Amino acid sequence: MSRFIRTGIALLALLTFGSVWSATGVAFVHGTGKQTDALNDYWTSSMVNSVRQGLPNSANYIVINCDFEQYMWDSQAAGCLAGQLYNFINSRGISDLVVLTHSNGGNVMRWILSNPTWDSRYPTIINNTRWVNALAPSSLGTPLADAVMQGNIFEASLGWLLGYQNDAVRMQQVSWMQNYNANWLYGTAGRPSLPTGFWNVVGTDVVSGFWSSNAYCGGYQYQVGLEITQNWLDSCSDGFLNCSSQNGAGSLWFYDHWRTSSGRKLSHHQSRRNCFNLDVILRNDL
Amino acid sequence: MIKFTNLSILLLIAGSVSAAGPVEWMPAGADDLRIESLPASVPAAPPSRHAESEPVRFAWPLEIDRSAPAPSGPAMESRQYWVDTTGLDIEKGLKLPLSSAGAIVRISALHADSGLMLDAAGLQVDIDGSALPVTESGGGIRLVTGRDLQAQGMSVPTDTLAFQLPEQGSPRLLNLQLAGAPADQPMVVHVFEPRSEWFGTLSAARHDYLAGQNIALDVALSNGDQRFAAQSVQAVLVSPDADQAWPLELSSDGLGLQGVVPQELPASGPGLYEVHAYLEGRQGDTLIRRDLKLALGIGAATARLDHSASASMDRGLMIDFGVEVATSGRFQMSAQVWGTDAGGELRPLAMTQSAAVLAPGANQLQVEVPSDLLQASGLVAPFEVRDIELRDQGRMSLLETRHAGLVIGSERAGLRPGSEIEY
Repeated sequence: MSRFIRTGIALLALLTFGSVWSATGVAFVHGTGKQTDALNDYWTSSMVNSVRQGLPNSANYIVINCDFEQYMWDSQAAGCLAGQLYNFINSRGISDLVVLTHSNGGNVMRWILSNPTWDSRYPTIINNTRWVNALAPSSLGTPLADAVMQGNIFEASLGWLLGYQNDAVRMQQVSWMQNYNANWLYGTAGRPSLPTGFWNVVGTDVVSGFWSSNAYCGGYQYQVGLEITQNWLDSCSDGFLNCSSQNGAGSLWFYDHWRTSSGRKLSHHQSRRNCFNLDVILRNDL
Repeated sequence: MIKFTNLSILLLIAGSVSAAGPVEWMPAGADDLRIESLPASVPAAPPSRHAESEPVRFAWPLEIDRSAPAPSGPAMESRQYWVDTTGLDIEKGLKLPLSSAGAIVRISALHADSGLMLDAAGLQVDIDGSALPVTESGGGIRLVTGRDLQAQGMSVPTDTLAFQLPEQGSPRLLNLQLAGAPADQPMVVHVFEPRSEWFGTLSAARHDYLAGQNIALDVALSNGDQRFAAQSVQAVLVSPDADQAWPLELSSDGLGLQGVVPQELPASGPGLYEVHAYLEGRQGDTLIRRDLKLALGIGAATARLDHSASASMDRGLMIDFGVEVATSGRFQMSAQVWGTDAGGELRPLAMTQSAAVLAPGANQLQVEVPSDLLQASGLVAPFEVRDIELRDQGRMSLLETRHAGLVIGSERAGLRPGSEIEY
């Protein structure tokens, strides 16, 4: 069923039964990293505050802070996410939750949706989630994760493997995600669908020239390393993830230039910031 | 004439389910993962890491994305290789084969916490005997640091220098020297050739194996048109914590790897096993070197399906599977349930899962399709239960699969809630 039809049904139901329904809420789920203040350090308050204006009650939002340097199923990753979502749903009476994920946060959320029997809190979360809007999710992994695992096992001690990489980077290697997508995660091609919608926003390019105003949205990133890292990526990528990975699970919502102002492209950094009207698009979806 | 309600139809179906033993297993397929019997003694398996103790069941409407086929076994390609070295050896100079122009070269400390600061002033780069200037202003290579790459999301160590070789010509040998690192400092050099026509391939038929099973992989060098055996292949299976490795043998034609998954699996922490393969081959005057790795799920036979199954329709469709457990843990059944539409065609109905902590011995896991989901689908018996999977949740391993699964209530085809039948 298309997103448009689902939205229509949801709107109709809201108009019909709105008085007996409880609240709509939105959750912001960060990507790889151990966050303690994701509002400021990952999303920025201007992004969060803009999006949540689309809620009937703009206080019904939560910014997740978890350790997504762990494997997605870890108690500090999916366990932490489940705890914060579960408490948010129960404490604020949320029955219509829209989850916004960025990057690896999409994998952690997809873990919860795919493994409802892993944790007794998961069914409550799934049953109260309208859908997930996955901003640049790393659903098929990234070759950049493969490239940074280093060393030759015949030439060095076996301990090299855990030398410095965190488990989340290791997990986002392409062949690791092949395994998890074939086994523990749903929503990829040929596999059963997820119990809720998982709608992808795909970033398709990076504008890095200092002369382009596009490059400055979200804070100018020194792009000198980009000419190196792009060699691992397809022509369609957001500078960190191939478009195929971003749209590798769930359903396509839109490629950045379909909906952004003036058809601008979203780099991986920009797809979590209020760049090119992305915040308004997400706000209007609540 | 007697008209039956939805409820009475459901009861009729339930009666049919329980009456004539209508739950019938389909023959197992060649691709199914099977455990014929559990080991006589408690299998050597890692401890179960499950945190949930409550039984949980869940089902949702089944839809399958048919835009592409279901994933087959894992497969990887590589145009890159790594060389481990030391500060002393890289100061003396490393000779690195190249198969194309435009290679990316990265030099890093092997471990992130080395505190090493690689000095670009000590770098010398020579291609086929001709030195390249290492300053961009001199028309040479442009160096980037670990921080530059980290800013792009590439989490290399901070102690990193990287550069791209010229995109012209047909280079064959890179001589790389870097002075200034401590002699015994473990270092790694990573060579990636994005423009090379030659790549390594590594693939397996399955994503998952059990302890003691044979493992087979395809390995080759290729340019897309030709596929040939490398002159040198080394390969190992590595535990998730990289603490143990088991050699894999190269087949006589040089295009296959074989080995046996160890019978006793170490307590090696979470994560996947990996096959690492190192290939070197020559085409004309081109020496091609490629490193590959492939992630595999490997588990111990901690439980199995005992091939008993029963179904009832007390509260929707309930299916009980007999599970024989060797080692306690949290186990999960999952299955696709298909039902029959008014035209007699099988349609996807529900994805269903159930998990519980089970003790050694005979157990049951029950999956269900709740009555509201069943009613909303409009689908009726016969049902097919496909892609049945038994998993060890606490050890994150796939134990058994039955792609064809089982059939329920085949003699009552066409009955559906709400239909009227005359007797």
